[in-house]
Amino acid sequence: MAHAAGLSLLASLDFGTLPSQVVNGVLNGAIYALIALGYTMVYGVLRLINFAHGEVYMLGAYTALFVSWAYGFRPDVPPDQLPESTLLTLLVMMLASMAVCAGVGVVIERFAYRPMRNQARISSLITAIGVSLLLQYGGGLFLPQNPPPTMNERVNPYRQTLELTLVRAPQELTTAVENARQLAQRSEAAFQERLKLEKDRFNLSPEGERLRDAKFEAERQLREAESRRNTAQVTVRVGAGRLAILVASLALMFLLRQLVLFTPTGRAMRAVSQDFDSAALMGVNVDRIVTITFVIGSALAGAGAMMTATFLGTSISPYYGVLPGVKAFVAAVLGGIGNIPGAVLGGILMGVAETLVIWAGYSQFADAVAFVVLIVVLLFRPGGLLGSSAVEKV
Amino acid sequence: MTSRRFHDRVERDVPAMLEIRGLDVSYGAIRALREVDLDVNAGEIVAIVGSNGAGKSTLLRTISGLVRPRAGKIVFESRPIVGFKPHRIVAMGISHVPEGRRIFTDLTVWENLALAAQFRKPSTFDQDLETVCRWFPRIRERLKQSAGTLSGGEQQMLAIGRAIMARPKLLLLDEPSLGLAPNLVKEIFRILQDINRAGTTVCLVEQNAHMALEVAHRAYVLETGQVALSGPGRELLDDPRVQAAYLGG
Repeated sequence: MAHAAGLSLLASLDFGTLPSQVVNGVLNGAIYALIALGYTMVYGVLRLINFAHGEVYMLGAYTALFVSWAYGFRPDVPPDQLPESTLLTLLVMMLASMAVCAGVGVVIERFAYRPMRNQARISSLITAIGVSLLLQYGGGLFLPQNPPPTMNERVNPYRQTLELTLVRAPQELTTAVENARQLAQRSEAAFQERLKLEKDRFNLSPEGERLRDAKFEAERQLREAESRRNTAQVTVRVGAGRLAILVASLALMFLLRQLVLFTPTGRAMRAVSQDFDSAALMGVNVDRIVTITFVIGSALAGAGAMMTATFLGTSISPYYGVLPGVKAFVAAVLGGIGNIPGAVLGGILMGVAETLVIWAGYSQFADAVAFVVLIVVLLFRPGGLLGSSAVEKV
Repeated sequence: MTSRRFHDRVERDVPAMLEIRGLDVSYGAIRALREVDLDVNAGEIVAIVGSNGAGKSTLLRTISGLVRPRAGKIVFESRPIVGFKPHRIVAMGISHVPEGRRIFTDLTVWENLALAAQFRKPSTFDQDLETVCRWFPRIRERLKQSAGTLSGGEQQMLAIGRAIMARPKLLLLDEPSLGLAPNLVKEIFRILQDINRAGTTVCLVEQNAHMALEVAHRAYVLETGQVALSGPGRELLDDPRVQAAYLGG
């Protein structure tokens, strides 16, 4: 029974789109990775799950929206009178989102988490949940619900779908398609030519019938040649917006890596993350490092929020950060919380897993994937894929 | 050791480098230190000995700002430092080598040393690195290695070297001999004496009372959070009470 069900599932899958699905999964994962970095960095220095991180992300999306309104992308402007978006507009939106998120992150740390730092860890955890709820419901009072994604209407270059050929078909198959296409065009032309001479289009002469059948045969051969070529080559279809998100995310992650590995501040961050007290004894101003960590983590979430809100045109609400936040948190746990490369790996795996579940036809379970992943990770590798399996020292 | 008698600073008009008066520290309901008075004079090696749980580590952690005292004052070079954040106390010239070394095993040896020096201006990094490498030649060979790959003795050398990178006037050491082979302990203490002779004041906490009292100019014995005895290191070494309690009779 199970075997048969497995077979019927396999038969129902469209393996031709699999490469596209994996690529799109990676692109979705880039956003999870960007958010997961914030969770993992804060956990690294404070051993605190910043549950308000998803709400910081939400505020980043609203910031991008308000900046786009300031640029004239207002919902009350008729679509044909909207201004054109430029790279500068997008850059300003992104920097504004990053700056606002960084500010919000610093304020949350200073006024909610710092007073709790020397208390039992459960106090910080409850505080974090409280801040998260405060921002969600506070946002519900003051922020517009589901404003139309006006900006997305005008970022045309990013709304296109690109077709990229990853693996080319052998030359003879491509040539065969080309030859078949020419033959089909010639026989089509011949048939059209003959049609002008025919008296009755619906009752063709024998010569007309011969040309018509030749045309049909040529078209059939073209389809066959195309399908032979298509199975031999791998093409992926991706949204230009998602591609832009991936490129920007990779750039930000690269900057983060350079900062953490090669600057004095990054060195201090790694030291604080490994041993808070010992870092303080080495002259590291740990409060300053904690602040910088919140600035960086929140700014990354802000960049991600601006890009999803603008390029993907998803509608924004005060609960915009809840699901991405939870999924990114799971991604961070999956990679090994506190581990920066782990957050990137976890985010990308999460994106791919989710896309594949949708591809397999279980889209209603897509949001549940995160939690299944969480349970499996906690069962088999509590430290995460790249995290240490060592028991945490208290 | 010689003419310098304990308490003679009372007669001198130069105040002690570090003056602790009436220090009380509690962890919740537990009183870790009570009414502790302690002085460290510039140029000295001062040892604090006592059994496990006597409050030795707490005393050092309070001096370096990791623990807030409930009462009492700590004055370093005539400035009260209670309430200062640890990094400010480091900047004033007190470096603390914590118990169990606590080096950053995920960082390279060089990064461990660089971290301690990066907050000081103007930076004399190269010069300080040279000093540390002269004292601990084994560190020089391992600069590029991850600190986690060092042996226990090398880790202790790195922990001390790291503290020296901050150019301390007063070096606090918590159990520098912990977990080390006897010949390594001797080497570490010999280097500590060299560092002291080069002008750094040293205050060390030890369970290995014999070694500590031998190198210390003066020493304090801590028992359940109180100063039980104090005096020149040599004198305490010969004191029958100390011998009975800490030197195995």
